[in-house]
Amino acid sequence: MPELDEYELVRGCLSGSGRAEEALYARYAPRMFFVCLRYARDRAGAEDMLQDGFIRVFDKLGTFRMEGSLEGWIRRIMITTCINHLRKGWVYHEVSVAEEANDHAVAPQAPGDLGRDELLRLVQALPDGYRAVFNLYAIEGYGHAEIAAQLGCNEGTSRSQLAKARRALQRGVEQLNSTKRHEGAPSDR
Amino acid sequence: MKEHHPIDELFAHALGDAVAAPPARVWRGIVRRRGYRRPGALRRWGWLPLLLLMGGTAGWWLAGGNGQQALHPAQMARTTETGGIVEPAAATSTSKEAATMPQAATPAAAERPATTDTTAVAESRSFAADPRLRGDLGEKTAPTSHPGAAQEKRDIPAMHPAPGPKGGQVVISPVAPAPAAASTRSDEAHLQPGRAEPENRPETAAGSAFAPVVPVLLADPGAAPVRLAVLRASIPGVAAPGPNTPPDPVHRGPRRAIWVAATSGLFTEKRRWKGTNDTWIRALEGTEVPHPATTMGVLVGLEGHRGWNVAVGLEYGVSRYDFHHLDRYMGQRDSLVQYVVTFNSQVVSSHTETVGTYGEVQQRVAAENRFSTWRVPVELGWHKGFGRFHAGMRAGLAAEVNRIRSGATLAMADGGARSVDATDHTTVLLGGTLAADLGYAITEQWGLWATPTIGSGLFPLSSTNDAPYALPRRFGLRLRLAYTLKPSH
Repeated sequence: MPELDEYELVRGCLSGSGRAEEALYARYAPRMFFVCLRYARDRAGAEDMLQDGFIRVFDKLGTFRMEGSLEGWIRRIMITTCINHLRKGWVYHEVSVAEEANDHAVAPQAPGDLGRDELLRLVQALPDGYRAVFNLYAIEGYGHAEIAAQLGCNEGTSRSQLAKARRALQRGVEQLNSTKRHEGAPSDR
Repeated sequence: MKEHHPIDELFAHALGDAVAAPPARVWRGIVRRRGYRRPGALRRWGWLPLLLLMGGTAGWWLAGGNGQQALHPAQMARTTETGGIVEPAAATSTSKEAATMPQAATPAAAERPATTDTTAVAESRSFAADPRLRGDLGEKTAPTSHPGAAQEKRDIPAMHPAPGPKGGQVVISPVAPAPAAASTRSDEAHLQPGRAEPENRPETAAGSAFAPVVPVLLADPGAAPVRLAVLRASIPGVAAPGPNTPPDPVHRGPRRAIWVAATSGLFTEKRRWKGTNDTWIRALEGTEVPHPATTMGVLVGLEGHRGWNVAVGLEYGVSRYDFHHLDRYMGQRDSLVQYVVTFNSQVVSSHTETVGTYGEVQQRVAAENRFSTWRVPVELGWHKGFGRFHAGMRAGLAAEVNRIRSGATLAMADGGARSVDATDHTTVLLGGTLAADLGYAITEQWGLWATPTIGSGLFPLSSTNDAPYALPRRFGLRLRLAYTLKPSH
């Protein structure tokens, strides 16, 4: 199939072309899969999210107004799908303002030379709520008000979840760095 | 104001625009759950099940395998049971000279049994059926003075599977040749006692074996959506979704799409008679039995929002059942009586007179009623999708043209209902249907629907002139193989 721009792809999908749908999936699935990997606990969960997300994309494609970026539109649907998956039973960990203040006091350390997969595993190891807030805030660029609206919580909760996520990730990064240092030391000898 | 944090920047930089190739099973799952497949065997051969069903239905029908007797479609056998002569009537004919020596004329000749040729022929003279229902029976049984013609008809045995002389032709025939019927000797004439047989119609195959044939809708089990979450739940250590899992996105089918469907249905049908003459209606109702009916047709539909759709189509249906009725009515019977005057074994003179008698006539009539129906249905439907499966309801109205291709019906004659030929009698009526709709998406564009349906005639659209009219009532299963011309999601 010749390379189509995203609007042509949408029109093809709306006209019932299975090839257009497959092409749209092939074009955007890799990025969206990584988005799902960031929100999911594991790879299987990410596959579920991706599948459900693309089904929603195809179902709602008629509402795409051909104005903005198709990738951005798909990403929003995908994030919403991921959040819905995560909301199955998570529990917000409410933290006090004092605890949040302490979190801000944590001095970030240099991340070192960590790989993408290691960082991804750190994110996936976070509790669902931390992970969602951190992804939305740090990577998607949402503000706390938007996150609160998206997750159905208040902004304070969003802030505290973000702080805890950062602290957990900070610890994870430090552990990874120390592990790497320990692993690299014998070889230096 | 958004705060910047080194951790945020680290992870955003590393993970923000990363990509990862999803496994192929994700796309396969999407395809399955959305209810279609890319070009494959099902897409190419999805029409085969309905074609086989329709072909099988046609073959079953043509082979007469619907449990009915293998009567000739056009045969209507009429059997005179008894002919009790009650009173003599005035002689009407003029005498004529006889050239040969006849049998001795006796007064008992006036009581000649009703099974003579002339009697059988003359029965039709007193026939006073409603002309609207009589059709052309009067012409087919018109009085004739040619005994041979009547004899030809009598020689055709009743309930015989041999082909009749003509479609829908009324055949008058005895069950077994009676001595009196075979002889013209006046001294053998005798009265047969009236056997008042109950009007119990024997249970016909049509009545006893009308059990509807319900085809089994086969769903492809391998095509059922495979939930990754379910698979994952079966893996130790991997969490399954909780009970408050939001419902999966459902492929609701194409919206604003036009579909074309071939339909095939098997129904059990019974006709209900309506009219003003209660006696007539009761007699007609007594001849009706539930019988199988098949339909085939096309349906064109337009999918709307939220699963609503409208459809219009054209369907053709056929049905048949055995008609049985014991006609009992008061009729005039005419007999020819020959008077001979002899002197010393010489015939001096002779003359023939027609003697009319008036009495109850009982005759068993059997025929096979064959109907055809053209329907123009307009239906409103709603359905909801559950993956590949759909469930919903349909309701609609249909203009129906019901035609009796051959067979018999009843008309009111003097003293009771009589069987008359009903060939080509046509009724136009409005019918209504209510149905459940169960669908399965074979591919993206092909879908197979099973529709358990209840249908009934509501009222006639054509003028009935106060004559009784029949409203069919059907219950059965209609299958629909639909092809979506313009799917959109």
